[in-house]
Amino acid sequence: MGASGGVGGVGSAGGGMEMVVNYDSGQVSGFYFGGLQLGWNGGAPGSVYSGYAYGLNGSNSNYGGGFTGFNGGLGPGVFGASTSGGLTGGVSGLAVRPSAPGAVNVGGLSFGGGLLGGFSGGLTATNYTSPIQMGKFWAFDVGDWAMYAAKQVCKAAGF
Amino acid sequence: MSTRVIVGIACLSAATTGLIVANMFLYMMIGEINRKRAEGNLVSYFGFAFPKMQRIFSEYRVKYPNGRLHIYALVAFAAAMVGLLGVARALGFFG
Repeated sequence: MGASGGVGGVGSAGGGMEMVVNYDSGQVSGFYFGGLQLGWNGGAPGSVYSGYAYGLNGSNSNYGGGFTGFNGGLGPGVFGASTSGGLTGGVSGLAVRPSAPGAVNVGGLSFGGGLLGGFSGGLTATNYTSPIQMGKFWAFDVGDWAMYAAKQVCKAAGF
Repeated sequence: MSTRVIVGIACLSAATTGLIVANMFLYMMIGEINRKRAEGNLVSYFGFAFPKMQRIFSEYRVKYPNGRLHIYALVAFAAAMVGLLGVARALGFFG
């Protein structure tokens, strides 16, 4: 889950923070990120969002680095992103390989608004900091515990 | 420049255009609503969140039962989302 904000219309510079809870190891990590969005961003957009990430390692360290993604909405919205070269990899660095070993794929729902227009969306290129490790399990709610338990059952069953 | 990059740029341009057009229809709806509102009780052209969007759409439909701006806005938004899916595809999402 996270929150983000930015400034801009067709091109927007933005940033935010996220908290990641790992259903494999229980690790809770915080991240800051910054980046660009191309599309229509509503002048001064802001949003909160929640989603699922696939492909995390036990320490969430592979969540740091570059991501390329897309989002769209009219208040409520959807987003998706995957590991990439991020902002520092040039145009070719924006390409993603969601099925590559070590790739992290993210998808979820957002809720936000903007200053100029309610319809927004576009392409995002962001870079995340290294994880700020915040301990284990403390941020879990009931749903997280259920997902964690399901993951442990799947691991024990060999899936 | 590869075909994939060109297709991605074209889809992003189409998506951006669709979103801007959708917001233009939204502003036109606000203008139409404000024509039938009293001075001092007008809908602002700045600041949008989902509850305000809902109010604009529902009030426009009530005040202009034969109006089509809300349909045009949603069609433009849908076209923009198709364009964004094209961008995602060109970037390597969905295989």
